[in-house]
Amino acid sequence: MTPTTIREFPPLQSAIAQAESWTRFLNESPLDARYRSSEENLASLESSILAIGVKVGEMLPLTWRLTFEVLFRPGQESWSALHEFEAVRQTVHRLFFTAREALESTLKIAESMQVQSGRVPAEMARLLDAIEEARRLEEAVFRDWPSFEEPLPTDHSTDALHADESLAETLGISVEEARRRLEVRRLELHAKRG
Amino acid sequence: MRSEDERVPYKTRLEPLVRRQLVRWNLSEDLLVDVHLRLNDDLSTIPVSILRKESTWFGGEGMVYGFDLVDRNNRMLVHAFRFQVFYHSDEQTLLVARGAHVTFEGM
Repeated sequence: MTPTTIREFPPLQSAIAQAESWTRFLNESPLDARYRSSEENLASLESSILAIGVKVGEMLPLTWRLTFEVLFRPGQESWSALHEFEAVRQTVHRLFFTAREALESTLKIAESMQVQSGRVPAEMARLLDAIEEARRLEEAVFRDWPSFEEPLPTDHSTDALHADESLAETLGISVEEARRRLEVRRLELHAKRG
Repeated sequence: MRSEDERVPYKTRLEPLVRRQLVRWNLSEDLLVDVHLRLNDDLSTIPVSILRKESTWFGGEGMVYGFDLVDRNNRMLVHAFRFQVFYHSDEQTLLVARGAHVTFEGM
């Protein structure tokens, strides 16, 4: 699977669509009388809404894991056009955005239930955990994944270094020592490959 | 006529922005050596098929080159790297302009 087709990667697209439709439903005030036959089934309705909201959040790490496994294809080098790679980033970003939106909408409903009933909904703690986990995961995924569409310095070939010079600069060692470390590792890898 | 599997050798150079990113990512020394080795040895030999297929090489936006490394200190942790690479006008050099680093633990 190429990064182009990941844009239509069904698990990713369906997770986004599910989160979007869930948010739409919640924004239509599902606790209104039109959705319940009696006061008695309010508790049951509350429970269902929170359970589904929690599942949307708990599916997020699993969908991300599958996306990573398919997208980054461990063990293989890859080449892609810039717009293809950016499309992947934007779609993954949308996955997190829509999930967070769905979770926040569920939280609003949960808080409104709490006001109406005077008790904390049963799934509230799980919902808050899912919100925190989604926030933490999104931050981790995008921390070192900037957009490649941002403008670069104009003359970007100035001051470019060879790999051994760059390693020396990064580790604060001499270029000779950097070359030695690269060569040691190169030999190790060659030996492993037989 | 070169075959599609054949690789064309280039020199690789890293620009200041990507070098600053490499520092900011807080990689272990082992990983930094491996990343530089991949950029020096593997990136610098591009398959002919990529050069022929991708017109964006010459359209100003470069290409995205990627590879993944298992963390030697934690075999459950996978580091995925993607780098934006430009084809220099001297036709002998690939310029690595910037990168992305995404990890997953538990694979």
